[in-house]
Amino acid sequence: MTHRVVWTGLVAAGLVISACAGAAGLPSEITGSVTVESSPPTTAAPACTADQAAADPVRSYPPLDSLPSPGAMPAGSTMAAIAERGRLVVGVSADTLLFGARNPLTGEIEGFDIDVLGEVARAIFGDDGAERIEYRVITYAQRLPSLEARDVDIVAHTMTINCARWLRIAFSSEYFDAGQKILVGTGSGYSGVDDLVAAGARVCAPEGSTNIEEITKPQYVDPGDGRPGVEVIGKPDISDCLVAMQQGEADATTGDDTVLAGFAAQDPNTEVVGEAFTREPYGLGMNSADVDFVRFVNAVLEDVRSSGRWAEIYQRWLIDTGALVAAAPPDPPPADHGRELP
Amino acid sequence: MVPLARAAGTPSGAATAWRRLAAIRAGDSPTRLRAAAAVTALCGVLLSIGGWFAVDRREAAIEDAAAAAEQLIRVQDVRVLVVQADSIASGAYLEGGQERPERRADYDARVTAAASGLVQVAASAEGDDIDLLQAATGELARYVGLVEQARANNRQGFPVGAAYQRQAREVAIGLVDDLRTVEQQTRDRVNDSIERADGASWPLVLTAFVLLAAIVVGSLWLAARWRRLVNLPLAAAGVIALLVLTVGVGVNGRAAGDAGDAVSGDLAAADLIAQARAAGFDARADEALTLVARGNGAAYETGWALSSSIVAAALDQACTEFDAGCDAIDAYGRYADGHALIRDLDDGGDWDAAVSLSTTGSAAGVDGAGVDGAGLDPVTDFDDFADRSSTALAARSQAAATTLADAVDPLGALQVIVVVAGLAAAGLAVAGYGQRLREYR
Repeated sequence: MTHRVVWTGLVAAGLVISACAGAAGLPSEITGSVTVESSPPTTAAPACTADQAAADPVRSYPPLDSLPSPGAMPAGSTMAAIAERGRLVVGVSADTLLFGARNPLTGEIEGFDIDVLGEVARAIFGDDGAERIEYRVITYAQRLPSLEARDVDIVAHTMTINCARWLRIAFSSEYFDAGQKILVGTGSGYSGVDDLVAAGARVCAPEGSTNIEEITKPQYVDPGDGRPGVEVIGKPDISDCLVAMQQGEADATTGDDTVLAGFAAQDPNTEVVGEAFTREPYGLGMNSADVDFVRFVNAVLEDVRSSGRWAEIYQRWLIDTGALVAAAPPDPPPADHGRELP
Repeated sequence: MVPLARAAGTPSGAATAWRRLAAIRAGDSPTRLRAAAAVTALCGVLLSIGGWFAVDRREAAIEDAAAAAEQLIRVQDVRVLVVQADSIASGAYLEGGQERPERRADYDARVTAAASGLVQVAASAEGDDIDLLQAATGELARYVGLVEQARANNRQGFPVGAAYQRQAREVAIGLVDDLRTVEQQTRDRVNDSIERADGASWPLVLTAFVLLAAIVVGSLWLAARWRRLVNLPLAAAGVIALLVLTVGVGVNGRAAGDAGDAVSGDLAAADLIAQARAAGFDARADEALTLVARGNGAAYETGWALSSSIVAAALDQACTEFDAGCDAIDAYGRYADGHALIRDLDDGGDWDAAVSLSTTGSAAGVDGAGVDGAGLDPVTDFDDFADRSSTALAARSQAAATTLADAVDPLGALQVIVVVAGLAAAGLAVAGYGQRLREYR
């Protein structure tokens, strides 16, 4: 009996002592949470029918017969809504030198596209129009989605007018005539896209651009004639392609001659070579439902062409900067206003 | 007289041992007394060995925990430095090519400290961490190179600088992710060490308990058989065993308890505050990037919200559970209000005012009721958050390090005492049974 009591006591003591220890320790890393608005479902790019493809994509809606005076936009129009808001929301590039680039010294976004937008804003608001512009910096790939989602009223972003894009958005008449070329390292020996195909070179192009659509065509990536074909590297933005070249990740960049001229100006070790192998007509993009706005913008562009303002803008960004060697600005590309109103 | 040692069984084969055991069972009292003395003495020696082993293992485990805790604080320090440097670089880009010299100096100081911090961290790293830290060192060098490229291009007015800045940020994010992995592995190592320290005491408890049991049973046997109430030497041995079982195990347990408390208290608080700081500076970098993206910074704003939710959760836990960093909560809350105003200004089309508010803390041209009237100064408020959290972090990490170092202090002496106590108990047991044996001479 006594033995059992002692034994039980000792066991209990042992249990108490061993139970004394024990700690919670360090909790795991804190992970935050945030509710993200679901992004709109991405639909496959619609394809143009043979008839649509045969029609000239640069054909836009006829301009308004007469431009309303600034500050007096027709009631119920898209322009009236913009005027009432007091701001024209525009989607632009901030790193396409000469067309839409943020000047790091002043912080201002400037370029050919920006000046054209200034004309549109002045037509809506009057003389202080340029100050009423609200800039949204977007990437190449965001150009169509931001218009479809109405995040912006208008996009001026070195955007090529083509049939597939007309199925999603509407374009103004052509305001600039560019062409796709290649940028290579000086002394690389490449003098055109054929050299790149023959050498199996690594060519960078921005995703979601007509440039990458072109360069991924079989004739360049898989010519089937014994030449290796180019290896295409896609980047979110074309400026990432210049970085890729400077870092030795790409041998060449393909893009519009206008954009590549800006790159050659930023990096003296690169040069634009060869003939343009596509035609890239630039247009201002708008929501496809805003036909009245497209017609308004086309009327503004008519003014810009005929008043000599177009030549001034061309002179300022492409000749005075030394980007293109030309004695005088060329004639602006002719406008085609033959598209049937919906 | 048969020597005691032989009664315990000399190594002369299993058969011999079995014969001796049978002799003890059927044997006379002197044989039984010798056997009891031998068993009790053996238990004393076992206490010496088991106790020494247990205390040694616990000491080593607590020292491991302290080293891992120190490593955790160092890794977090490097992470905060990297995020701070990136936040400065992103902000400088927003201000244009004319970088203020003091900002440049701030950035340089952070990058230099992060580099030397990485060297220190790598020197005390183990396992996978070594590879991760090697990768992190390479990423830091790459990051610095990209920021330099961005800066050089910006100075010349080349927009490709923005592409370099974006790429630099991506490298910084990868580097921070590597450091976070190292942090989590280090956290696990702290917890494992503390668990090992907790589990290390059983040989001491067991051997002390067995010794005490042997003495108690022996004393009861002596009392019943020889009608003596107390055998003094044996009683003294019992007191020693009891003291080891209570005081010794108590001291040993307290060391592990102190270490565990330091880890689940001060170190946990420091860990939370360090996480809040890293997330806070990350949010500030995202704020700059939403403005660089000029009205199109939705992705960075999501990043800001995510980082801010980490700041809120970490500071809230630190304050409610550990009463640490509470004053940083208000500061961050005010900063978050200022950030909301910056977003309102940018989304409302007043980008210049948004940039001014974010970089200087005030925005001219915005009416007083909107900004100055509300008393919101996101720059000062964020700096407040940074200062207050830094103070709290230093205090808690220092406290944790001190407690962990102090926890092992008594264990060295305890180790010696337990060894001596075990041997003394063995000697006393032999003496106690010897008193009864003498009656048979």
